[in-house]
Amino acid sequence: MTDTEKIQALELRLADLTDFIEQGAMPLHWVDGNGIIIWANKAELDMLGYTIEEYLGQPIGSFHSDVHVVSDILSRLGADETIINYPARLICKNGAVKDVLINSNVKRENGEFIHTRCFTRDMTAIFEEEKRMAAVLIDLEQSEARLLMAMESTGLGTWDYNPINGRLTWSDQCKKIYGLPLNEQVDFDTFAKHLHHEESALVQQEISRAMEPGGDGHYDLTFRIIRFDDDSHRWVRAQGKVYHNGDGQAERFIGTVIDITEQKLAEEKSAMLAAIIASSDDAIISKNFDSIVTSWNDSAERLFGYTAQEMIGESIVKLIPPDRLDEEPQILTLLRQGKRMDHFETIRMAKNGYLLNVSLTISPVKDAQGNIIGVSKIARDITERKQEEMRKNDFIAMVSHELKTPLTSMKAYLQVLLAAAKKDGGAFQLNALSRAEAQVHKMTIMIHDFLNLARLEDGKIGLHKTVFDLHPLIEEISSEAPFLTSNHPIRMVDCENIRLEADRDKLGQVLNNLLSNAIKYSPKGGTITIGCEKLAEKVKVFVKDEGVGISAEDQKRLFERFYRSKDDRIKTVSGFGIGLYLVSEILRYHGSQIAVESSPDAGATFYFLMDRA
Amino acid sequence: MNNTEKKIVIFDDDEDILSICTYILEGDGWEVTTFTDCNDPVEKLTRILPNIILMDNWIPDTGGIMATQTLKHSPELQHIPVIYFSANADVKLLAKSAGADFYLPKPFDIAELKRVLAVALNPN
Repeated sequence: MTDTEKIQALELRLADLTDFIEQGAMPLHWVDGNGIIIWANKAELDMLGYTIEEYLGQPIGSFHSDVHVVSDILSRLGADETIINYPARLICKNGAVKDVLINSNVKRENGEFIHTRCFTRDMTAIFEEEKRMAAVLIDLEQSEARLLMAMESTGLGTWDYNPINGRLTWSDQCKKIYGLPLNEQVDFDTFAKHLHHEESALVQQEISRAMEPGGDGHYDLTFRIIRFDDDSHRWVRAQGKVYHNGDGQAERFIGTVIDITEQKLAEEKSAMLAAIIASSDDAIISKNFDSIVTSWNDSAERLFGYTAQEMIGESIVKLIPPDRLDEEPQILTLLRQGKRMDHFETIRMAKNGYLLNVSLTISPVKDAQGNIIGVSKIARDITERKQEEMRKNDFIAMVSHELKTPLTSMKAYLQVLLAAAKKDGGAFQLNALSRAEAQVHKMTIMIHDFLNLARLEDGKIGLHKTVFDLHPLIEEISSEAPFLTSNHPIRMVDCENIRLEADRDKLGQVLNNLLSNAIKYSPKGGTITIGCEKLAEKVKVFVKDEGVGISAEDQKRLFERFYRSKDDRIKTVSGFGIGLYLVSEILRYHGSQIAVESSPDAGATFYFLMDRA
Repeated sequence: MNNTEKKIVIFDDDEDILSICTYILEGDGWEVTTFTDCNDPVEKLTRILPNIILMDNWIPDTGGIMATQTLKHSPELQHIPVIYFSANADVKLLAKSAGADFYLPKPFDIAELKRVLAVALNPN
């Protein structure tokens, strides 16, 4: 190679190197001993956005964001230190600040500071990414903490199965669900052994299916497990996902498990209750305190004729007949106090307007805290029962019908004949018909007593109390006496202006029975007195006769059912022995008591006290 | 209203009661129609349009309560007073709820029957 060639080769080499540093992608600059930029390459100018005129000749310090950083760099370089990856911040032309790392040292010739050799790496994007990563990491940590917290609070256990090496890992919560000590490990076979036999095959089949190559890997199953600690059975729900490798082989199967026994039992209970409600013959309705219906079962539809759609959201008042509207507020008042109503017999109205006899059991519905949140109502159709009561199965109805029906026509026939005989009949006819009518009357009273006894024993003697004047009642009772007697004058004493609150019909029966007894047991006649003594808040009502009187022994047992006196003198007197028992019971229902004062041959006085209204 | 216009319908399955009531009421100038069952009460009564109805409790097929409810739901018939008569005092309230206007216990005095009829015919 000639010198020229050598020179040419060197020049080429120089041009290459110049191009390399001028056009290379790494920002470079030189700074002189006074800190003035004396050279910079294109990459440096591009990085910061300045033209060469704007950059060269300027102090390097004016491009640094941090004064102490640049002065530290310059002083280190001045001390011949080589700085590596020194972080600094440079100001771009557009005002942005770039994070950079600076590598630099000083070129000296003969010990003299010529310039720095400064390489700058733009780290802005990398720093941004690091910051972003740090933020993501924090986010991840936080969400993991949240997830853990959620899993702990919901009792969610996790599991991780590696089908390739057969390793199964359970989280602590998972072990808790299975009753496995936290320091013990488990494998797939042990897991399988702790499946309830009824679901064991299904679970294993589902696991195999989920792990099938190319499958969706989805797994969601509810089954029973047998706990390790006490062998108890628990319902769990397991959900998981299988991850397949590139060959389609299952390589990881992870998921969660949660104990849903309580929920399952509650669901079963609720399903059972729902089935009971749906299949119940009774109408089961719930409503809120505004009387708005919130649920309505099939039987309610059958009974009342309204569909659930027609009733839910509507007022229950729709079912209440107009004359019973006041029942609803009364019922609600009781329920607000937390009380319930059992077998309240009333009448409700069906969609077609027909009245139904129903027995209502109404109870407040409370939430878990015991607050009353609504009302449940069970309505039993007792129309059939009521009809039945009116029909043959009911002893009272049967006796009423079978005995009173013939009496009704007999009485009417007799009264027609009696009216005719009064006009143009003979004395015997008149007498005979009168006696026959009196017997019919007596028989009516006996049947009446008999029925009342039956009602008493059925617990059906309901009192219908009203406020009334006593005197007219006594007059009515006395006016019937001539049917029974012609030789007992009846006297009324001091019963005017007395008002009572009682069951008028039943009290009439008491007086009627006492009066007919007084007549029966005074075979020789004699005055009978019905009288009153006004006391402070009460009235003493008495019926006094002048008859055979009652022995001390009889007095003790007089008010027992079917008790008949042993007295020979009155053996011929007819009766069942229930009249005084009824008197005593009716008064007992009124909170009163019958009493007697008597001695043989001195007549008897029966009396009782009643509250005045 | 003169006597020949008074029409009464009696529902009762007891022939004796029907016969004696008919005798008594015809004597008082009533035009009496009787039925021994209470089936299709609306159809039966719409033909006659009586002034008063006497309804027995225990009568085939449905019983007096249902029959009373039915006719009290009929726009043509509901204004006609119903006297419910029964041997069973327990049904008094039920009869009232079914719409019966009066209640007459069996057995009754003729005088009582006439009094109730008079009130039913002329409530004032």
